[in-house]
Amino acid sequence: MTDPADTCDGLDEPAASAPAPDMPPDVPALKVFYLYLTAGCNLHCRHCWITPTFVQGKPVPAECLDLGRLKGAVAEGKPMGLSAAKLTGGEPMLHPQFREIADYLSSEGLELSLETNGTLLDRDLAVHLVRHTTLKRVAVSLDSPEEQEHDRFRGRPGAFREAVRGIRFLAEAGLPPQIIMSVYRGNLDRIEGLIELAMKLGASSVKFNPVTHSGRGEEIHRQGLGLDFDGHLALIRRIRGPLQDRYPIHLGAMVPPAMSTVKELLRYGGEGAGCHVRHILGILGTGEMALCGIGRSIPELCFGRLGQDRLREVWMTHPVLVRMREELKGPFPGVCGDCLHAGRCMTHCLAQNYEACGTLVAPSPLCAEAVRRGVFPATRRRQGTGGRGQGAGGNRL
Amino acid sequence: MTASPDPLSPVSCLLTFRLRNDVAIEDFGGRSLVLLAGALELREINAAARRLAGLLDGKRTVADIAAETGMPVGPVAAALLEMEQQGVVRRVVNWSKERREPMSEARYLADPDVSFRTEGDDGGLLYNAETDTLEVINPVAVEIWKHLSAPHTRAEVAAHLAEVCEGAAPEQVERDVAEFLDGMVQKGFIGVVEEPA
Ligand code: SF4
Ligand code: SF4
Repeated sequence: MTDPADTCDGLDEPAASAPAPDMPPDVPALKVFYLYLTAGCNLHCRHCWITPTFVQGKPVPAECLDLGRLKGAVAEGKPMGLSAAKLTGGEPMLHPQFREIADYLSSEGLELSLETNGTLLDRDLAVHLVRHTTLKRVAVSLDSPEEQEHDRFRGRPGAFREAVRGIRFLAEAGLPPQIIMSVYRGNLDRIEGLIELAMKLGASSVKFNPVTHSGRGEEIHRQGLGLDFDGHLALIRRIRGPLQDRYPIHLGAMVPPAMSTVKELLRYGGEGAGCHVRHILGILGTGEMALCGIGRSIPELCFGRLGQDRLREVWMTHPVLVRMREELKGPFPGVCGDCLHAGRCMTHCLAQNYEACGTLVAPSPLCAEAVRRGVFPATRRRQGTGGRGQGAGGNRL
Repeated sequence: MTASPDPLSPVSCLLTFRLRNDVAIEDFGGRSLVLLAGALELREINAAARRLAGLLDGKRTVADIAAETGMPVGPVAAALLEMEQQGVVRRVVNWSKERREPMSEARYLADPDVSFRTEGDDGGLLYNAETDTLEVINPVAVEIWKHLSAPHTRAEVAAHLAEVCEGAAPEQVERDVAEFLDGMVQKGFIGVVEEPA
């Protein structure tokens, strides 16, 4: 995995707001588990936000989610509204019981999604997952159409070939995956090539995530290779404008809505606009419960441990969660308090906000920077320019 | 854009107006400046318009104001309709935002308190501060929205659109207009005007 919201279902899948039958009305339903099945990874990506343990073969057992504890959590979570799980990591397929876990969650009727580097997928597993489990979405990371570049970025020779093979297996089995490209200045000129490769491989979509400052990504920024504010916005405009016009495959990017043009808002609707973290709980390989997954790198966002703490109690009473829910009711701080999109956006990705400024409910880094630079669009402010737009003349104040 | 109804029609006598919430008037000696806060614009209005604005309370009809000022009804109605177009005053209408069966004679009006923002030619944003709801609309919808600064029937809107969107198939235009109006009435951005008896 590369970044908190790389393939975040929290942004892409609006969760219904109705409370679960067995929950007090003021506590949101717990709908999705983000399962960080293992902290280990068989690659050594230059930008990974999690900085997982590099594992040549086997992951550290203490960092592999215990199936017994997971079963307990599912049993507790279902009456609270649990209906889906995302399998992620590290590399989730390194978990020695990966297949068993996927089968178990499917037998419990949970809808599954998976994010993986794709290297450990063989044909048999792809067919099994697609035909015999409830897996609905897969995201595979690919950072360049050039083998050596991808391998260099991912820190291991052979990573490209294995990922491409995995993507093919999934597409052949009937579940074309999304491809995630981590973008930095070193691969900006590979974007078109990657889109073309994705189409050739039968992928369903391509999502572009600028490498952030978190985890190993900081090193990329230290080297001056990260995208700055202007570079980030230029990337978004290019992907959602001319490139989406040119290529029939769906191209996505995670953007706070105030930073989207009207044309993009019309084209992409609410996609990637608002975070549903209120309905998500991260469970780390160690059994710790955390805010989506960010608790892996920020211990104060861990809420307790499966087997020791009751899931229901943690969900209902942990002060971080309770405070976050209160703050998400608004009014929102800073520019968000004056933003037309706040009701839906709810300050965008809380994990990224926390990494940027140590506060969950805060203007997203991109919007905050736009304000600092004086380029936050006045038309997106509640008090902004606009009026009736009748094209009437008059002196601007 | 033509305002409706005709200032000289009998219906105009019964219209009532009030200043928009986001408007302030400052008088300097013999001159009056109007601040349109929503659009960040300043306008100057003449003495007659200033006098009319001072009488707007949302209750007096055009006929009442004409009688009070001794001005003919036609010019009073025309001046107020023009100020409406400029975003200075809003019409007080009894309107319903309830979903109802399409009626060919029903007249639709954009909620004057909804803030409309354009960004280039790509479309616009409608923001209803009362309900904190936002709607992103495409350029055709922008055209309809602007047209509905005064009440119009579906047929009138469709005719207007057919005029500005050359080459569009009339049936398609009618379908699009109906779909847009129904959706926006349901969302509370557009109302159906209940005409004065
Ligand atoms: S200003 Fe805040 S509410 Fe508005 S788009 Fe940005 S993060 Fe979202
Ligand atoms: S805060 Fe929301 S958008 Fe960000 S990673 Fe967590 S669930 Fe996803």
